[in-house]
Amino acid sequence: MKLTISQEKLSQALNLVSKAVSSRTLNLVLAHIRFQVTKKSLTLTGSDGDFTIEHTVDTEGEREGALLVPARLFVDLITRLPKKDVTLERQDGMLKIVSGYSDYSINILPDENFPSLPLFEEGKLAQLPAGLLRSALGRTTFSALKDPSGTTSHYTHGVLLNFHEDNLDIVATDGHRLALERMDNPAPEIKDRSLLVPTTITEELRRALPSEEDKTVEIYFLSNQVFFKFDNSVFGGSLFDIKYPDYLKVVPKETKSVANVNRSALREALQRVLIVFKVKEQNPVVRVETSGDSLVISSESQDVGKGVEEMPFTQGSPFADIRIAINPAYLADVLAVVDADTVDLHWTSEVNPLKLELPEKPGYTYIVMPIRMD
Amino acid sequence: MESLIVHADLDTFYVSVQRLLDPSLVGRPVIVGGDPHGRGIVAACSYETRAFGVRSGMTARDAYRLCPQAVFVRGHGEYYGYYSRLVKNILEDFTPEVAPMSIDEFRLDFSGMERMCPAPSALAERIREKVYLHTGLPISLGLATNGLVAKVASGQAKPDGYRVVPPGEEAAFLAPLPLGKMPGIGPVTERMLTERGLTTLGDVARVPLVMLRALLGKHGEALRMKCKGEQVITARETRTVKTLGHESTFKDTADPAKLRAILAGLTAEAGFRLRGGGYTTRLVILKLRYSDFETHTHQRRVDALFSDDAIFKVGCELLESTFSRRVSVRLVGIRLAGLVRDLHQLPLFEWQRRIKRQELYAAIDSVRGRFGLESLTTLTAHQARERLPAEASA
Repeated sequence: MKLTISQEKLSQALNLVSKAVSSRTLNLVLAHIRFQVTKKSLTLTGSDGDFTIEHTVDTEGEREGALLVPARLFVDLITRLPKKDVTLERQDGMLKIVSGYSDYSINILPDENFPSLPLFEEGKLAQLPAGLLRSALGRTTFSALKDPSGTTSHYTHGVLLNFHEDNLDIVATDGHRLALERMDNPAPEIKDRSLLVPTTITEELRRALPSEEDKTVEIYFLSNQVFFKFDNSVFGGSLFDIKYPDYLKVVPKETKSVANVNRSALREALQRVLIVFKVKEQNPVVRVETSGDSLVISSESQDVGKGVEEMPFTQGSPFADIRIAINPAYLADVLAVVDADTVDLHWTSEVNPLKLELPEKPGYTYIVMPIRMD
Repeated sequence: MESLIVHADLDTFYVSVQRLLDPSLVGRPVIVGGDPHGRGIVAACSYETRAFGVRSGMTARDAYRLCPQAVFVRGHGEYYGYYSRLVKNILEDFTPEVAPMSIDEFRLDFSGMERMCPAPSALAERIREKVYLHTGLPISLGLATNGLVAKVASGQAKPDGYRVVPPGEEAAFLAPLPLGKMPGIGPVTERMLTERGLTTLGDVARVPLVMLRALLGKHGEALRMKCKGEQVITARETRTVKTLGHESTFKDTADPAKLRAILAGLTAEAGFRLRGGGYTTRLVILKLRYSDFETHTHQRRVDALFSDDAIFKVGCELLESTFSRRVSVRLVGIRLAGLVRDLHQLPLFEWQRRIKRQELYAAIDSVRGRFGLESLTTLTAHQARERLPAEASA
């Protein structure tokens, strides 16, 4: 195997596929990245045994071949090389890396036992603009939890893609708040199919998806595996095979009161009142209420002190005075990711869910459950 | 403006409560804790027994050897909490700043209340009188400009008295006291200091800082400040609860039904404290000790739980998987970890059901808070209490 490639191209590709490599793996093979060189391309693969990222770079290989390089070490080395051409060559059972005045030989493994993505010519489910999926995931994924151990499957550890009649719903929840993005079903022939994709995959996917308008992402579904194919990359992994709770049931359809608030003013106010809570305080609480024509946010922490923020708001219809206690982080999270000038807060009572919608963007819904104060 | 801290410490609290429940114990040597012929340790002992060398923490058997004439009584955990809350309520009539330091110790802050307060000694007399009149419990007080000196002063005031350390006299008050009086000087530190000829707190205050640093590391500086009677500001005064648990030693049994019944009682205690702090638990740990002292713990991750029945169900399943040997068991314990203070955060799914359960437990807890844990109990836990003491004394 021999190839010459620019350092920038190589480290970019390595950074992408190394996202799937687990630092805690017990399997030696999985601590490696697979290199496959053909006459026309270089294909890199990283995997934790389930979640796999494959990326192909168009480049001319001098000699074809495949091998496994130690992921951590190789990424560390390549990203620190000067921005010049790098020559990689298999020599005496080692990988020789030459770039400018640098010359390294590192131990490698033969290309054996590395998990490979199945050939998935069939099983194509849908195709949609990559930018659309990227921004939809950006507005939803943050609501779900990341499984710290990577071993359990729970509905809070995944993002649901639900193809249902005319809609594709993207849903994420941690059990206390929920984000729902509804878009037109890109594959209307699919009447009922839901995929619960682990958050570890959607999080990396969101970052890697191109934001250009004209690029597309293809979704494949085979038995319990899902693949996202875009540009020269494939993201693949197992779906959670568990039942997702009926999220539509918890979205309040009718509420007693609507208030329209400036997004950045609300966000900045929440960030300031959060300072009143110690960093370690696990669950901060703020009261949000309307008083005359202003929205009042107040917080109090025994150890630090208290703070009050007031801002104007516009009454919607219907309207009644609002009074609710919530975790301010839940509201600040969503205000950070949505791109809108104002947000609508829908409210019914102190115990009913608080609903946030974007007047400029129908189809997006965010729900926060309140904290009971008595 | 000087600050004024009052450290209140109930004298031989468990014994005093037992004497309220059974007046015949007044004036007699009393030991609260385990069975003198069986197992268990001394949880508290009256002043009469201390003359014989009895100390809390020793085994009941040893205490019996030292003081066979003592009356041994079993503790009534739920009454202690009740009386402790009662005393706290009374203390709150004097100042809103009452911080419980343990079940029988409170720190009262009167700083900034000079104009409302009488002189310290008159204040102390009023507090002691009111607590005694309303509860019948003797309480000792230490009054000083900071909590640490106040605590040491309350120790010097015992039994049934008070001690005022005027501003500026802190160092002079501490100087003649032996090392062991200072919180934070345990047997190991005490031995290290004594070996170097330091026997009183005044000695430690006078020693050059470098020597204490060499001896005790960074604690040396704090200790020297403490011995001078100066306020030491620690990074984190309030402790956050990480886990909470209860365990019980009993007459060995291999009967699974009996073990479950004991577990039910322990779960009720742990659940009461869990909800009292506004927590939910995410990890349930069961501990089992066989009669040969082989000890096993099994744990399970759970969704946020707060109700006794849900925790008990997990506990029973863990008990079943842990109890694998055909040997009798002498101790069962349950511990709740992964505590998150989100009892009042409503969940998205089935929140109406959650509100109902929360209201049910709020009602149960308020009854238990007023009348003791035994006042309202599940059938399983009730059977445990019915059967166990009778067999233990048999």
